[in-house]
Amino acid sequence: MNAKAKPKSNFAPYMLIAPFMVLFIVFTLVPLIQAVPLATHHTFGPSATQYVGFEKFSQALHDPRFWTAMRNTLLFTAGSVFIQLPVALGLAMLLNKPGIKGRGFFRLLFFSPQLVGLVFVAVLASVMFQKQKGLVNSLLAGGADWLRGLPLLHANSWLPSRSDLLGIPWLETLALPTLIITALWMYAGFNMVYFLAALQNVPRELEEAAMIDGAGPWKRFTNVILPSIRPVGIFVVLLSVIGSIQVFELAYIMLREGVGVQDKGLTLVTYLFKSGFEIGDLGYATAIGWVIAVMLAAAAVTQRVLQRREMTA
Amino acid sequence: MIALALISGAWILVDGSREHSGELSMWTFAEPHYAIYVPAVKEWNAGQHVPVDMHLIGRQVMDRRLLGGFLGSVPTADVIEAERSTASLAFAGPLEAVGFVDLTDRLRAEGILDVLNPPSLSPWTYGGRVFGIPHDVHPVMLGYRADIVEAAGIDMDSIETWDDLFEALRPLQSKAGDGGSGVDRYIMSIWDSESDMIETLLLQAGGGAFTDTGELAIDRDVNVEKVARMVSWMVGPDRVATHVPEFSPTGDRLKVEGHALCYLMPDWMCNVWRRNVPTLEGKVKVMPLPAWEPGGRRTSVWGGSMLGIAKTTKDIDAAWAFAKHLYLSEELALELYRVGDIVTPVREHWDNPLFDEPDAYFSGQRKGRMYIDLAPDVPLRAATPYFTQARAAVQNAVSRTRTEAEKAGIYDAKSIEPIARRQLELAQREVASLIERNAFHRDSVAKGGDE
Repeated sequence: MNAKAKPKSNFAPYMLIAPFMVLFIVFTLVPLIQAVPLATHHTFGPSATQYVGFEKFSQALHDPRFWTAMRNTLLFTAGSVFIQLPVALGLAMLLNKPGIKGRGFFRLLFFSPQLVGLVFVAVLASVMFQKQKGLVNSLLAGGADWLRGLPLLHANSWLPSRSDLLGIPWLETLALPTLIITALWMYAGFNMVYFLAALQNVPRELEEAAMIDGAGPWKRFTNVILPSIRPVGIFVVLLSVIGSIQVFELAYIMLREGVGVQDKGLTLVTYLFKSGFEIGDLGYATAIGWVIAVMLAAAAVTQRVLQRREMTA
Repeated sequence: MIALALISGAWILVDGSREHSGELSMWTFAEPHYAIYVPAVKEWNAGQHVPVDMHLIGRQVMDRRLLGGFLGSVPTADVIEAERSTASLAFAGPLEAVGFVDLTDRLRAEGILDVLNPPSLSPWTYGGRVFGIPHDVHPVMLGYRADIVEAAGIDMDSIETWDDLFEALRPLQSKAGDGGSGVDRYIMSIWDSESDMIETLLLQAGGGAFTDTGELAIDRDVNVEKVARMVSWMVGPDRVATHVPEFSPTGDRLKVEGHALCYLMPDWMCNVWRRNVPTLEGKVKVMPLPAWEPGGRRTSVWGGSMLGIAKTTKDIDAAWAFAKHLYLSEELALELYRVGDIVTPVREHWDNPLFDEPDAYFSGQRKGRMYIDLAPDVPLRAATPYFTQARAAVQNAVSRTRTEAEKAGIYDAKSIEPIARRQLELAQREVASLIERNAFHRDSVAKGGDE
């Protein structure tokens, strides 16, 4: 008998992606579609809505707090990219050195903030950075006292007083640098893992060949290592940019009212949250959300373009 | 994981103890309030009443859930005890969209309006309608380290104004290294990051971000002058103010060390001190706030809560009966003071001898009576959905003024005034544009203008 082969069922793939698609449609696609009319309305519940056109966007463009939030977000992003990632790469290179002892321990140590989670790190940091009794200011004041005790340094003439050091307002007017430092603590180890994985894939022969050709450490770094880890580097940079644009929890937990003093720690997502859920102006919050969405889309497109260029190179 | 999820889900479904026992539900946000209400609710449920199921939930959680209820018809409790910033969320839309039941007619018909301290009603009165029963008065006094001040032979009774206070206590200021107290010691705990304290002092002066009728007036003269004076306390090598944060272990440690001698002390703060810094028992006293000018107001207000009934409740009459039982009974009023140090807004209970009892924590002072004596002078506060934002804008203005004055080396109040005015004008514009974004508000202003 020549039994006809049964056609393969196409049902299974759809079943497999169904759970994701349901969640995606309910929690992403539908809200995204609803966000279009919402940004053009002033609302207070379903019964009280008023069409205002593109007024919310225009108001955002003329709102100084929006621009403060934008500036802070971009500065935080710059801090992530230009401070956090070089530190992560540096740590990865240190741990990638052949013959280094305790590699696993240090890897765990640097990665540990990820294990305890963002909220824990933020709460801990907010205690450490407090004025008067916080660990950071106490260490600075203690260090200054020690320097004052050293002969020949004349530390009293150039060091700030103990009171000034104990009163450094990390969580107030220095909110943004404090957020950047805390994010460094939180994410440097995380990014280090990516870099370490990439570094371990750099062919040792290439480095050795460069050494034989007389390349020094800097030349080897710029001409051998960096080009080899570039695809991972691009990925990590863009991941950091996207994550930084969305920064919210750190500021919300660490800073008074989530923004610090003088709006020094106000970020775009915090402003969105405050507009939507503290004032109830969902239209304005949605308009800010669209601005963030455009920024994220731009970052994602940049990543795609750079990745394609990398692949075709 | 799936098995775990299924088991826990099934557990929640069948767990009878999680079901609401009452037909009415109530939310409160403050643990001390909850502790006081538990016996009262039990007693209520034991009687022939519609039973109530009370829940303690975090304030921020309540904010989100209440806003969700008002904006998206998500279920809320029937009876809601809300703090001022939470309750004000209800007032962001048109008057008819306020999510709380309008209680004005009931309060008036039953004569309750007459027995309540009038300033306590103002934060819950929007568009001339009252949307909640007030929980408290929250008059503010000045708490001070009596042990240190009295040991120096300073007579606090002779102090009438803020200037008097700083002049009298200045000899007690010291730096850790100068051989004095061994710690940095300042006269007053107030700082530019503390929006509540700034608001309290502006209200005392008759200022504040809004007028009594709810108009935005951040940059009015009284605010400019008082902000300049406050900033003058915080700047310069001889500043008299320092930052002792409330509700933090750091702040509690600084209080014990005597880092600051004087503190703004609303009635509820007495309870916070009693719980968090018990070692200061017998070392602290309270006195009426020093006035800004001779003959001026000797108190202010800080905080406040109300009990409102959600419009979505099925049995408004039952909720109303319960709300009255909880907030207006003498028994509860006395318990509120006994356990929470909070003075009731129901004036007819003020004569109770409980308020005359000496308080050991406050060096034997009859502090209940002292707070009650000040209660009628508590300033009015308008109900507005923007007060949190306006308060933050004022605080930012104070902070910027301080930074600018400190940088320029300007330390006297009169010279700080131009900076304060500029910063307060900026704050005024910022909040005005925020209000302007509210299309409903624009409409109501336009309608008002047409009339």
